[in-house]
Amino acid sequence: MITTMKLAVVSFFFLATLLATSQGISHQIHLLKPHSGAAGHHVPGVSCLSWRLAVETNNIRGWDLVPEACENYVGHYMLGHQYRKDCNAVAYAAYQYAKSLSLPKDGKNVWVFDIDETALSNLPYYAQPENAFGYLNINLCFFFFSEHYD
Amino acid sequence: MINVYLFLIIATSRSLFINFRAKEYNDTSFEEWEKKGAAPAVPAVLFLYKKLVSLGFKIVFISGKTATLRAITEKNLKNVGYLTWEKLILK
Repeated sequence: MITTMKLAVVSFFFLATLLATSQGISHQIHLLKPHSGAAGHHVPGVSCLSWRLAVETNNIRGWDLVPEACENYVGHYMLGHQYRKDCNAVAYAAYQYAKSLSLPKDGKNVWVFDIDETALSNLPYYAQPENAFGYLNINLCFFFFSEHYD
Repeated sequence: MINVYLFLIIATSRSLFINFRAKEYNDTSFEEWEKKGAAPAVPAVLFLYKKLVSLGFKIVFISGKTATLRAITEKNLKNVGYLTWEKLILK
């Protein structure tokens, strides 16, 4: 019965979104506690997007492990398009910032890059079955990083 | 007088990764991976790097990797497109 009700609620949201879209209403419904991960899989118990947001904004600190229920979610995020898009957004903002600076053109301006998970990615290592999300096809991440940025 | 801009990107993702399944995180196997020097570039960061070089910035790389990995790290960086830098600072 509960399952049926949930389904009904989900269908309602879907229908509402569909109606809203078809009528050209621009506002979106943002769920506070999404029930799916980046790849649309059900994530029980924990709202992983909320957890990730809190970590990235440094509101949750000193944690040791990704919550067990969010391991799949994090795996999907790191191997999926959203992580790539997030990286692009930050890099583009940094580029705009660099361009906006009025610096003397004396060759004495230095930009410092971190290496691990910044200039270089260890994603292929972490994607190995024995290290993390082995249920995903490892070729995904090679595909992910072999594309050129343009 | 040198103008230095410290720029750390995607630090959260790194901490996500390092803590991801920390139970299974294995220093030895990570070292083996590092010794391969086979890490791909993060495309967005390589893009930013190229733009900064063309804007006239000198590049410094900083890493918690040990100094014994210097040669392989340099090779890895060059292989994926980071062709020039001013300094590579290791632990």
